[in-house]
Amino acid sequence: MTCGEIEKLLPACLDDLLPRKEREGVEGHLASCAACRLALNHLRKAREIVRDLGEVDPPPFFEQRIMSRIREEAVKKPGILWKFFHPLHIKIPIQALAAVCIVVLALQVYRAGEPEMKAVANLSLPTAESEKGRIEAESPPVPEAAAIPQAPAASLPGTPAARGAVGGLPEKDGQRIASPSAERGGKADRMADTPKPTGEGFAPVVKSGIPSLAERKGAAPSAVKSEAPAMAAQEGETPAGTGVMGKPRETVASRETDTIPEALLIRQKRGEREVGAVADRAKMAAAPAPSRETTQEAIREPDIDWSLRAGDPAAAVGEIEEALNGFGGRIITRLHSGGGEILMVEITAERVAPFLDRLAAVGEVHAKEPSRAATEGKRTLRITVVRNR
Amino acid sequence: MLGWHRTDSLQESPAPYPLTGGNILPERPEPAAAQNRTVEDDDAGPVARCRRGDTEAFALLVRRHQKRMLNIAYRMIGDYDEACDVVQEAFLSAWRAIGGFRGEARFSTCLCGIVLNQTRSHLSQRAVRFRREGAPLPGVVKSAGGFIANEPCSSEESAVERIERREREAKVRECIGSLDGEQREVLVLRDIQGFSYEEIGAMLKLPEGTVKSRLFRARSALKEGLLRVLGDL
Repeated sequence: MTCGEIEKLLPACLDDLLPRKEREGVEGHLASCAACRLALNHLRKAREIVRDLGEVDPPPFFEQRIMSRIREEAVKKPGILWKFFHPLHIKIPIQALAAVCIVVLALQVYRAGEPEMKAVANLSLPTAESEKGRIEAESPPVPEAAAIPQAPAASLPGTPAARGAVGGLPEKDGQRIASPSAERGGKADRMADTPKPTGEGFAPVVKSGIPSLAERKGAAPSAVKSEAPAMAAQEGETPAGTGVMGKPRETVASRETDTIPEALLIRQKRGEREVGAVADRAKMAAAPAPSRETTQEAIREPDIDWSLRAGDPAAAVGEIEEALNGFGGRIITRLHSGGGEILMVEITAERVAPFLDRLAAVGEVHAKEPSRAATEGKRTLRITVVRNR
Repeated sequence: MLGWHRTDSLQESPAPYPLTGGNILPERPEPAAAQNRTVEDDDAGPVARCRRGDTEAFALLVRRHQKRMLNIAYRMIGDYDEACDVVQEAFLSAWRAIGGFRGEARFSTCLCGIVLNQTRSHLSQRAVRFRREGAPLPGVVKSAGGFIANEPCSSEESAVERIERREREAKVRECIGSLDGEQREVLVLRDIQGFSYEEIGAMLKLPEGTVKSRLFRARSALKEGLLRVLGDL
């Protein structure tokens, strides 16, 4: 080995870290090389010099200074974020508190909006079902008579029948449906039809012959003589503050007035499906009620079933009413269903044919065979007026 | 920077601390070591108490290791006040990190590693600061007048001899400071502090072979430097 190679190995010799073979080689070289021996000696002395350097001592109170900072660190006040998320120094962070608040709030909202939710659910469910039975001119939305239990139309509030007539809903639902009708006369017919299932089919609303609920509050017409007193009686009987969730009735009524018509407006946009929805709703109104004599005429099954397609159903109804006056007939009930009208008409048997001719001038009429024999002298017609597309 | 003042008075050495139960802590497996070795650490008891928030136990650890840590930092930095600051920050870091200390190595080894990291960070910051100010970067070791060694003064030593000795030590420190940082680390830890190669490897997270090669280069460089400044050894 050369001196250069030996010098590289000399530092390891200080700690005796060389392998035996290399150590023997280095020792043999050192025995014959004075320069390498000197270099090894210098290495040893350099290490001794370094080792002999004196140690320094910590300054006074060095430990105390360190520990003062350590103690400050140990009791360091929590930061803003820590305070925010652990305000009470307990293991319940604010997230859990927020979750509880959200749950409570959601429960309150759910309970406060439960009537509206039920109303919307009740209104939307039949609508969905009515998709199948979309009203066609040839097949008016009259459900099968056997499928719909007889439910009297006298679902007026204040009577036991009224409380159970709205598809088995509690009383407040009946009130809820009625309230918007009272406050919004234009929609009263749409509203009032809901809780009034007919005995065998749909639930026509008293429009022409029977005033709306708003009108009924004032003076009850003759056609619904028993309804108006019942309504008034119910309003009088109902104790104050027995509204939904103990709220005053006015509050509930006003709130429902804001919500229910909107739901109905949605339905109105669905056009003819409303008729089917009304028919389905009649299925829900299965609770029996004794006051059926009030609108027996209105709910009985028609002798003749017609459908009329017209560009403007409302105008067509006006023309029908005008024509009917000319023929000595009268409109028993009128159901406004947004996209269409359903009229229950009474007319003498001998004037049915001329009346049909007159209707042909109003729109496209599809006449079906009478569902049952006509009564003596007078016939009951159901005219479904739908928008002509 | 805190105004640390070095005193020549000998501080009482840390009282021998009791062996708190002689906890056996699992050691981090080293490549060359056996896999399931355990290491006895006299600091295991205080460390366990520190993990529960006992500051008094940490005071015991500070008392045990402050001098050695200060000397390491001082040999690395060369400035007593700055070394004190670095050691103080190192202990603070150790306190913050003691919750995650799993006993995979001795506490003293981990503490040395923290001190060395703080030292490197301090030196790099100092280099940046001097570079920004445009001033010439001072040597790692303060020369004459910057430091007075803390060795006991011999009554027989004359003033001239004392001055000569201090000048010689200043040159030695200058030589140490002139070493590369990596070489200086292993030289301080091995030849001054006497740590084993294994401990140094654990502190620096280096294999022992790398530690040895760095040390051998450091020794050769130191020898050359001392021959240059002292003339003869």
